[in-house]
Amino acid sequence: MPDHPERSAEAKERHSFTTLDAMVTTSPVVVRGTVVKVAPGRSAGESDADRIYFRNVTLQPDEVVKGVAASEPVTFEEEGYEADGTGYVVNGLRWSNVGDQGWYFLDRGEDGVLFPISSYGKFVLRGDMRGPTGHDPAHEGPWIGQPIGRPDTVSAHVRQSGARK
Amino acid sequence: MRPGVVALVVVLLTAVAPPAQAGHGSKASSGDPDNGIHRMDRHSLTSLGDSAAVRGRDQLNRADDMTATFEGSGDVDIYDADYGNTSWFGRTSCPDGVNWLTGNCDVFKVQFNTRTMTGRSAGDWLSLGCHELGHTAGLGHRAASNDVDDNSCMRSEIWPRSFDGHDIDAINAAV
Repeated sequence: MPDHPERSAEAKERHSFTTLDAMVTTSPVVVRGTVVKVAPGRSAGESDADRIYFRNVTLQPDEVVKGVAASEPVTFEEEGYEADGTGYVVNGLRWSNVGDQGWYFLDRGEDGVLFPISSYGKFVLRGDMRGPTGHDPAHEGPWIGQPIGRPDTVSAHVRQSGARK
Repeated sequence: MRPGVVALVVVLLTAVAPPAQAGHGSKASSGDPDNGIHRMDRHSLTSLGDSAAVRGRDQLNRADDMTATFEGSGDVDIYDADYGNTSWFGRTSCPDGVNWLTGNCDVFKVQFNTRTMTGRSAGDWLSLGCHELGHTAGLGHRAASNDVDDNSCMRSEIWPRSFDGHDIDAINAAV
């Protein structure tokens, strides 16, 4: 499998947040953590042609706002690979790499699987591409108006939003 | 860089820039179509997935410069399946890659997720078909700020079933 994505997919998402507070409130899991492992995950689809493959990303929590135990690693699914193995991202949600540290806003499926609640559901504090993910996050989505160049202030806002939940 | 060279670069960049799309949102990162004919394949779709594909075709055909048809194949492959718990209802990609020079995609892939669409109405499926097939015409997402009438299916958070006039103009500009 490649170590970086080469394609970008567009998607109609289940959640469209306009504020960070709304994203924190809606996300079952909000955690600041460090990526300690990335591995191939499940596949889905009914034929080789439409099959997609997921990546399993494991975080070691550094700080939990809600939803998981602080002492246990957290694994979530991230997209992905196309049927031929080519890497892709959805709506600008960048891949996670071992060593990244950031805020992760995760949804939980009825099967217990965790996944980013939105393409804007990650804010990288330490890594190659710092800041929020998603298409044009300075002008669209929940990060509008946030001081994304000041990660300490962003972190404080996430904590405050979590405390109000 | 010398001023003359800077001016030349600006002129060249302007010459290859895509046409302006007043009132429309962003461009789709999955690329523009490589021509105005969409030959679309439906791959064992559910009845709701099929209705979505038909809606998407009919909406594309509202653009004067676009012809979308289920006759023939090779431009858009449409699937639906249980792709599990994902953040999305539907997605559109260009698996072979967007041509870096032209910004065009040769073959698009559209996927409707029957898992996340479970419980959504038949009308929502029509909206999803309009939305995803809109991406195959180069349309990006619309926001409330540039769709004040709430009537574009390219919005993510609401479920209109049709393109609005700005969408149609953008499709004609893209093909």
